[in-house]
Amino acid sequence: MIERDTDLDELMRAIRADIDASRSPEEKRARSADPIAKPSARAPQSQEPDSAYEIQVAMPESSGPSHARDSGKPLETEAPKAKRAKKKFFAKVFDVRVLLQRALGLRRLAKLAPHLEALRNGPVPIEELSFAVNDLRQDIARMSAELAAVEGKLLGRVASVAIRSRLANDELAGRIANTDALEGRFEDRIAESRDHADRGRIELFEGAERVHSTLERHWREIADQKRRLDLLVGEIRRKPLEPSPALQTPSPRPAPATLDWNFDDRFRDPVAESRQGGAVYFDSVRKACEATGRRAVLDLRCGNGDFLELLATEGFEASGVESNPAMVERCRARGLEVVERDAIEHLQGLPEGGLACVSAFRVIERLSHDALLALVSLALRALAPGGALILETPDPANLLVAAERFYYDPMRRNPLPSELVAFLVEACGFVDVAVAPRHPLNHAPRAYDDPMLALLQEKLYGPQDYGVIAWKPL
Amino acid sequence: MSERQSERGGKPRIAVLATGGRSAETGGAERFYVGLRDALVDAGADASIHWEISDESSYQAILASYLRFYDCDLSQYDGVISTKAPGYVIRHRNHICYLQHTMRVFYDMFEEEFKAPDADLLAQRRMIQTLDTAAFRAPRTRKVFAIGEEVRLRLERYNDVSAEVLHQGSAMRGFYCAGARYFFLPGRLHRWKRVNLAIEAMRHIEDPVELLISGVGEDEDTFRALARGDRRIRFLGRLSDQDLLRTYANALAVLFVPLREDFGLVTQEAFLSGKPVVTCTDSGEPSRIVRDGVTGYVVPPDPKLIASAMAKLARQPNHAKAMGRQARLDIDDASWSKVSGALMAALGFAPPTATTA
Repeated sequence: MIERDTDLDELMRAIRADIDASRSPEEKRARSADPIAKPSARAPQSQEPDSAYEIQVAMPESSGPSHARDSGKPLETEAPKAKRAKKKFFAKVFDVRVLLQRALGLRRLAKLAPHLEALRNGPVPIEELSFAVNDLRQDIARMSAELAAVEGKLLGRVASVAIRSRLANDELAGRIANTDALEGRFEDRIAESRDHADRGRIELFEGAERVHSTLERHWREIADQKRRLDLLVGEIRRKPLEPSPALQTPSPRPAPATLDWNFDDRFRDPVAESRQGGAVYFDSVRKACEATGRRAVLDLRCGNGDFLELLATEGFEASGVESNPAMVERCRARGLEVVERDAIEHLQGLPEGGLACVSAFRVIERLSHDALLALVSLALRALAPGGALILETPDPANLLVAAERFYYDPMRRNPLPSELVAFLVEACGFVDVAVAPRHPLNHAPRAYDDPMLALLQEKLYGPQDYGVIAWKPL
Repeated sequence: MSERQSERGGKPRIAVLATGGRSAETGGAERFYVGLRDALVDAGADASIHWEISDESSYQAILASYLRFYDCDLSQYDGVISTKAPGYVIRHRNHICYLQHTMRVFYDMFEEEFKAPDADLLAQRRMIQTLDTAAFRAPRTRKVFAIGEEVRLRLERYNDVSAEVLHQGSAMRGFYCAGARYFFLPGRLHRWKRVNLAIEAMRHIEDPVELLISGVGEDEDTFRALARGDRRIRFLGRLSDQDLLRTYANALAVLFVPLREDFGLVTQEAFLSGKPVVTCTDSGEPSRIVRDGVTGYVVPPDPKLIASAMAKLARQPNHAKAMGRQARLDIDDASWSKVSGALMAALGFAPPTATTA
């Protein structure tokens, strides 16, 4: 269909000529509208009559086969085999007709010829002519009787073909019904086995899920063990010569790294708190980015990086600092940028005024007072003017937190009232300090008339944490 | 060529020949150009996008567009990459084609659009196919690449041209996976995308699950009329990039049921978001990317069958999530660098080993 070796340049030349032409007046358009030559619709004539006589004879005869054809019409829907037979049959009829026509024509010609000759020569007796006409009449009568006989026979054959094809039709219909039933059963079976396969697949997936979670648990345990071993090996290396007291009393001090890991996993609901909750600070982060013209956000002690991931998703340039190698590994596995270092040391090493925002979630309650002051003033130094500091910490104003929940994590040192933190931050040089309550306990509050009960509700089921947002002056 | 290159510190100048319609819509194709240019720049080329308008409003206009691209002078570039009809007729000494698609209305969509074509239309189809074949076979066209198996097969079938398949990378960044709340059907609202199949499928689902449909297009009114009365179906209109990412992230699964799609960024974006995809056996490239029962479902284009696949996902959200995780593993992030490496090598600018390293 495709002309393989048509030259593109030639085609393009033609198109250019065409387009140029169509820009000039209408007469050129007529050429392109030329319809494609249609094949001749006339069917080729099978036979031309070869004499005037034949035409005369053919006239009455043509009614014979056309009649047969009409009676065959209701059979149009029959099976192909019957159709073929019918076609052959009519071909035969046609042959007979032609033969008769020929014979009759020739005979008449032969009989009439002497009379015509005589007519031309002179007057001919009427009797002779009438004899000839009589002969002809008899001939014609005989021929038409023969024709009628042949026609009767043909009609009989047509009827029998019709009956046979009707029978074939019936049988076919029966078989089709049979096939339909079989097909239905087949489809049922397919659906059944598909359901089966689906169930199998779901079981397979669930199995894979179980294996996945088991693997993850084992991986964590292995990582913990490795860390403990590393610590032990490090200790042994440090004092190779002295008789080690550790060897005499093997007291494997649990590594802080391991503790950190387990406590976070156990007591915090990362989905409810950090992942979705961190998003409430986005407006502040965005504002800080606009004010400073920078996009860098640093999360101190970023843990397993939930907030970092949120920031990255929103398009901020987020990086973290974390001293716990297990956490660092976890962050890196999630594709987050994290420096393994102490947060304060890292802040000290940063250039002045390079960041848009510094955040620290559940960090300051672990620090000594001096370290807290150092962290806040170093953050001030690292921020660009207009940058934001975000600190989140448990709120001791909630009695459940102050008395119990705070101490779930033994790494925590000082419960910090929000007023104290706000004051310290301001004292270090931040402005516009705001405190926002966070994470109320999952408890439906009731409207108490008794102010004491209302206070108690607030003090027990109020916010568990608070966030402090402070700004470096412009 | 080498003289020019040395003037610019060895960076070859490459034009990505972009074919624009009259309306400036940013669809998948436009993001494709940007992604391709960035990938070439990353591979060390001085690449830029060269826009040229292609008017396809009438047959005469189409021929004129062919001629315009044929006459387009890009000799200031060291290499040209054409991407779409009729860009590949360009006369440039160093030209390759990374084919998105030919004019499909003269190819596989011809019967779809013209139920009873007359002799003129048939002659037009023949002309366009002959032109395209001649262009692909011209010695100036050094190599032909295709964006997917569907396009490659079409080239083979209609033009008898063999092409190499290069799967493009994703045009957006920042895909993530959060919830599993609804079915999502993004994309242009055009009859070739067969959004109606998804809307009709919802009629066979009794679960209170939602279907969110994003995007705009010429057949939007038809689809809205079809969905009228079903409150579970919502049209979101055009989404910003951030909203699109979020809508993907919270989907239970993504529906994508077009007719013989060339590539279908939607599959890729769904997979990057960790979502399974429901597609149809005649949907082209997506039906080759989605593994039936593993990263989604591939069903015949029948609303009832689509509905049964959707119901399975809706009733087994954990199963859907597991499929999504598998989908995330299936998709290859590094595709753009492979694409740029292969294209640069075909243009003769860098040995393939240097770019893949």
